[in-house]
Amino acid sequence: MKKILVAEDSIIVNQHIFKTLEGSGYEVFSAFTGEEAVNEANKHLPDLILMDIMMETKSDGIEAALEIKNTLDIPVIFLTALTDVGTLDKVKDSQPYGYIVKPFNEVELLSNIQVAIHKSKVENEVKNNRDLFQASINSITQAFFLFDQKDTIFYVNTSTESLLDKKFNDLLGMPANESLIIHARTTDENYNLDTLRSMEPDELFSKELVFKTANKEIPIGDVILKSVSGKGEVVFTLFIFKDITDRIKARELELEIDKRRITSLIEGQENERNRLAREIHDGIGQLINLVKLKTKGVAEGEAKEELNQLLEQTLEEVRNVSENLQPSGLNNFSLEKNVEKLVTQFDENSTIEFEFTSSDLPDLDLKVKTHLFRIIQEALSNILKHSQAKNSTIQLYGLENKIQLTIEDDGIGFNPESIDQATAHHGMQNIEYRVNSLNGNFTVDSNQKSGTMLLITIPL
Amino acid sequence: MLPKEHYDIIGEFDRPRLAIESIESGNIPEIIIMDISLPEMTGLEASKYLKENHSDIKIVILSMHKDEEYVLECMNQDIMGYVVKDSIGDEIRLAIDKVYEGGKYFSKEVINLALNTHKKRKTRKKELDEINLTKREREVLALIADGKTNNEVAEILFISERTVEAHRANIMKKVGARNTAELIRKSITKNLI
Repeated sequence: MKKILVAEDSIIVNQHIFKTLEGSGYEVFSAFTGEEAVNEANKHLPDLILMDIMMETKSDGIEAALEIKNTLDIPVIFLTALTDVGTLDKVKDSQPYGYIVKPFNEVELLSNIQVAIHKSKVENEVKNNRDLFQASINSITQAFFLFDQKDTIFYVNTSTESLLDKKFNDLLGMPANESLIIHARTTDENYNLDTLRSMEPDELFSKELVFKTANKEIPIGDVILKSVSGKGEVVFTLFIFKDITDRIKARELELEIDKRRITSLIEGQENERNRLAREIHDGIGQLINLVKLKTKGVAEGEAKEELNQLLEQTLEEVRNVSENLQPSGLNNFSLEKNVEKLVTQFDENSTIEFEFTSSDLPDLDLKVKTHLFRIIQEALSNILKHSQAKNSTIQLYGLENKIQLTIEDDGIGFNPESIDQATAHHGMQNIEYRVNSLNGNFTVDSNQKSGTMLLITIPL
Repeated sequence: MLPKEHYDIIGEFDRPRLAIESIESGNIPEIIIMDISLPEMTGLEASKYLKENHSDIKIVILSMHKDEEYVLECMNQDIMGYVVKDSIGDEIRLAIDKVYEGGKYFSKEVINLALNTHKKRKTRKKELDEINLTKREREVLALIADGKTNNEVAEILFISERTVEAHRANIMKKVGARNTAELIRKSITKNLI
């Protein structure tokens, strides 16, 4: 049963309305002053209030209506005498659901009440929906923009407000080209609403962009751009994205950890090789020399000859194994000398013309020397095995604040994209790890027409 | 292994640092027999130090290395003796005698090696005096001379701008130029473009 509060200081009128409404199936309460009206409204929470504007010759109906509007949000219909017409302006603030001018008849009263109750119900539903919508949109951590037909901001959620450090009211109506300053994360390519619209949704979602605000640049991703149509035309454009600062940090950390792991792996490997080389060289090598010395005591003859030959071979083998593990020259000579020797070996043992040029190299520590030597060794083996090149040029220069190593060949080239898959290019990955462990930069430029060029720079 | 009637062995050390410490505390030999591959400090580094600080001491290198660069380095350092470990025995004795008397002794194998490579180096060196640009470098140089920017060169040759920059740096090094104007001027006088 709907409840109605009648606030009317005339006892006769109040009673009359009371009876009429009760007869029509409403539960009715009465109040005779503004103050009473507020109290009764709080007590019974009626669905509607009929409020006389002038009670006890004061216009306290208006104040009561305002208070009820602000605290309880109950619809109010004003009852006015013709003499009150001048005060009507004043009541607008309380947003009444109607006016009934006294004297009125029963039909007029009831129909006004029905319309007001219905209207209030519909409005409440709309308001509830809107609240629900806002609460949902505000609960997501993504930034949410709603642009209207003219591409100006119609709505943003609280995440957007805090991201941009601006209030919704300041953003409302701002054109998209002023509010969306977006560029690609890894290039300088700029985007606006139209260029974003032209992208495939999947591509857009996976793209990493940077959102520029007045005082910061925020990396964003998971971008969604959607047109909302109504009556056959675009009414709104929905723009949603996520602040991916943390995601990028996590990814960079992961890369860094990976890099360190591989670096220490390679370094451990080099140390172990070094140790093995030394042990083989100093241990086994010395022993064989000693054995050789002792053959002096063996009687001359074919057997001694053969023995010495075998020892010679063994010694040669030991030397080769040791050299392969760790070129002893790296400990003793400059990188240039070592590379020169390496390149000469490749040049003499293949049909490819290898050439090496170098200048202005500073003194390098063993770690840098070893890595660069291994890189060149790896690259030259690759050229020998896969490139079908006729010429290859290795250049190693000390520049202002870095070392630049280039290794060119005029072979058939390969696809740098396939580095991961092809086992043949396992070596490339090795090079990359070593470059990383020297904090250097590694690029491969390769095409079928002009061969391959590896470019490695190491900061000094 | 050395006949005691001629020489006294006044110290044996497994690393150069200890030998140098002993020498600097007054235990000064006339001859040192030195290996190359040694812990902490290589034999070559130790020899260099001794040459500079104790030039009276004569050094005979005793090494497993039969590679040209070791021998050449020793010749450069004015080391008087180099004996390959393979031929240890009589040869070391010969070397010590020779060096003691103020002469030089290098194992036969390494002498040949050093002579051969010395000759090879010479011919190689001559080639290197000419400026030898790779095919790609000539293309890049021609485009630079044509006034093209790195970016334009990259687009024309289908390579990355970074690669073009690297080529440019390499060419400058080879030609011996410090800037583009000098590069073009020198390239013209040297008939590179």
